[in-house]
Amino acid sequence: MPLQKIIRNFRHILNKRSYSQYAKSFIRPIIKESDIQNITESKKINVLKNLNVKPPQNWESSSILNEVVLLKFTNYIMRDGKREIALTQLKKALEIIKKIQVEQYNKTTDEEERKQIILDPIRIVKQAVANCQPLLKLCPIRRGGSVYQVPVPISDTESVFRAMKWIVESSKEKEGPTPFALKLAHELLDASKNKGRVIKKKIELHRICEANRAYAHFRWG
Amino acid sequence: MSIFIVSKISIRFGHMRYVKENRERRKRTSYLPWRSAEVCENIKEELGKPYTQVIPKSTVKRISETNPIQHSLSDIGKFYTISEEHKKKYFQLNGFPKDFSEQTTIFNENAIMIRKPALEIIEYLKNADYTKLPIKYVISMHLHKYGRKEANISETRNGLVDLPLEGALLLKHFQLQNETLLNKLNLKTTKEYVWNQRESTKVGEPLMALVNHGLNRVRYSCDCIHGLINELKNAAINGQIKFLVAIGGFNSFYAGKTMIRMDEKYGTTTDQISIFQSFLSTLQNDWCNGAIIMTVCESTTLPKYRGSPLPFFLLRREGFETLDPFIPIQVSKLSELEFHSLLDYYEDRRWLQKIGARDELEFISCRIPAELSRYCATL
Amino acid sequence: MRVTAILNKYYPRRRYTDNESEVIFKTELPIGLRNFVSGKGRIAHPPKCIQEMYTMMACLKQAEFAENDCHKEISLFNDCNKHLNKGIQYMNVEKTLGQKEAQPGDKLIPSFQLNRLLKKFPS
Repeated sequence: MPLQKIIRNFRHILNKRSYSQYAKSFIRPIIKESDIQNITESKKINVLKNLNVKPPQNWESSSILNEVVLLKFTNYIMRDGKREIALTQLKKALEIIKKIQVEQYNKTTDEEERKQIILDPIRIVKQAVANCQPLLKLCPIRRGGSVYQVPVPISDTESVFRAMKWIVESSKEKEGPTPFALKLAHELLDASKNKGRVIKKKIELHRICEANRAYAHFRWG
Repeated sequence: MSIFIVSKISIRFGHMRYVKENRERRKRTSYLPWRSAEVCENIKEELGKPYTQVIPKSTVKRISETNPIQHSLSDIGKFYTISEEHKKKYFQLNGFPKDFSEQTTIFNENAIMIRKPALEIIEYLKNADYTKLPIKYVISMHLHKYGRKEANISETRNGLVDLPLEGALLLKHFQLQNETLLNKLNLKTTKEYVWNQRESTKVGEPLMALVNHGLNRVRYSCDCIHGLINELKNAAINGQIKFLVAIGGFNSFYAGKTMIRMDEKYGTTTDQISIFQSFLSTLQNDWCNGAIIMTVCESTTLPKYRGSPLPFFLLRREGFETLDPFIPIQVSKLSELEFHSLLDYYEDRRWLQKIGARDELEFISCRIPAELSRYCATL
Repeated sequence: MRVTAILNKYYPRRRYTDNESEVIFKTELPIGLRNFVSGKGRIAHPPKCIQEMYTMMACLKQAEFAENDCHKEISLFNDCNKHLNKGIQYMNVEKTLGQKEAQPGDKLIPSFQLNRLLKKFPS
């Protein structure tokens, strides 16, 4: 369908809103229950209660099934806008992680060993992402006719993006007919223990940055 | 003889239908505009705190009575653990559903929640018209219907197809379950079975010889099953034993199509498989001193026959008429008591990590067990 | 043939008259200072955090790129680069209410604060 494809590609132009529905004084709603509790106890509530609040978007809810990190993760797994397939794959991976951890928990008899096992799969995902976050990035800068790879500090949002992208990429790379969810699960478990392919990738980047440290001042000037 | 049918009924509510329709439509969506900064702060906030495991508030209700015959209606919702000895004896090869056998390794125990349908069947079996000693034979069937299998044309019975490997598995399962009982009872064959010019099983040999022959000569395993079932039926008529037949996913007998390949062609139907035919012979009303328990389930048929959990829809007219006088037993959704005791068990085994959201789980899953386990898997 | 010299003679590009009356004064923009400033102008940042980066890299190289051994250096580097992380913006109530105003003695005043001041006291 060429016409549909064209429309999809230029959707951001066709659907562009030229004005905001709400005035600038409107603030975004607070959705998490724990956040609401914290704010009602603090002094900020005196300011907030006199302001206008926007309605929440239809993907925002305080449900236990709703996790911000997971929904961000699906964006990188998703292909062709098939969100449901991406979400089911991620949920399968979470299930596999939990199976491995809970089995280990129920089999160990020593109490102190038991306490060290992380059972929450979402905590493992967060730990894995945090471990894979790079500290620096390489930026190509042209100086005197040749391009140099210059090490540059990276923002938090970009480093989280890099970490998630690397995890998804490396779980797609592996050979063999093993399903994607299984590979993703093992990749996440490895990364949460500071092991595996993604951590190697990050260290490789740091090594190149260290080698190119002489170019660091090219950023200015 | 009495026939029981167990069917799983899941009630679909409004929002469930909405989910299904959405899945069919496969809507293409764009990237959700999650604020990246929000995600970063969420990760930092969570990892800033040290990890502590969630400790469940309530304890699991377990039953101390080991004999399931003694369970009563007041025990509904309690957990009964099958001991390792019994598991080795009765469920070594198969018998447990796939999901359940996976759970036993994760939870490191074989626990079952006592529910009303099981008590109902036990109650019926207890009060049925029996005159002899209660001796049980359990045959549970678990065949993979639609996989590619080795298949031969049956030599003894015209137009039928043998599945030798599957037959041997079934015989092995039977042997493990009933070896001690058979040796004690000393049952003998009443007919001569001629396999070929050299090999034969004569009259008066123990029944175990028939089973062993099927295991040693895998080629004849399906014929051995046919002979074995006839022998057991005869013994039941004579009053030597009580014969219980248990078949899971019975509606797959009437699915029609199979993926079995004969002469590099697909197209064998379920009526042509010899094991199915010999099990269908147990449904004829020519024997007594026994009972048949079978389950009917949506997931065991082809996708085109799914849609309703009711017996007439799943068995279709053909299957329904062969069974016709039978007792239907409905497996309904969880009651409130069962729901809470199941979640207590999940928390005790550390399967559920987010406690204190039971109202929401109850609303989403409509207390349907399959839906509940699906939602609990990621939490 | 060189044409430019000849053409310049007849159609000169830059011609300034000696006669003052020929010059016409047009006002294309209003005369006087405006009551607002635009926030476009930026101050060029000097090289920042380069020393922290070097110390962090040296530490990482010594520890064979294991981040657990250089917690102190990494946190120093991250604190230096705080300006990169904007954080969640929807909770910024002070800005919408205008509580934070320019204080007397401030050397660098952002454009929105200046505009607020100019609105209050127009010239």
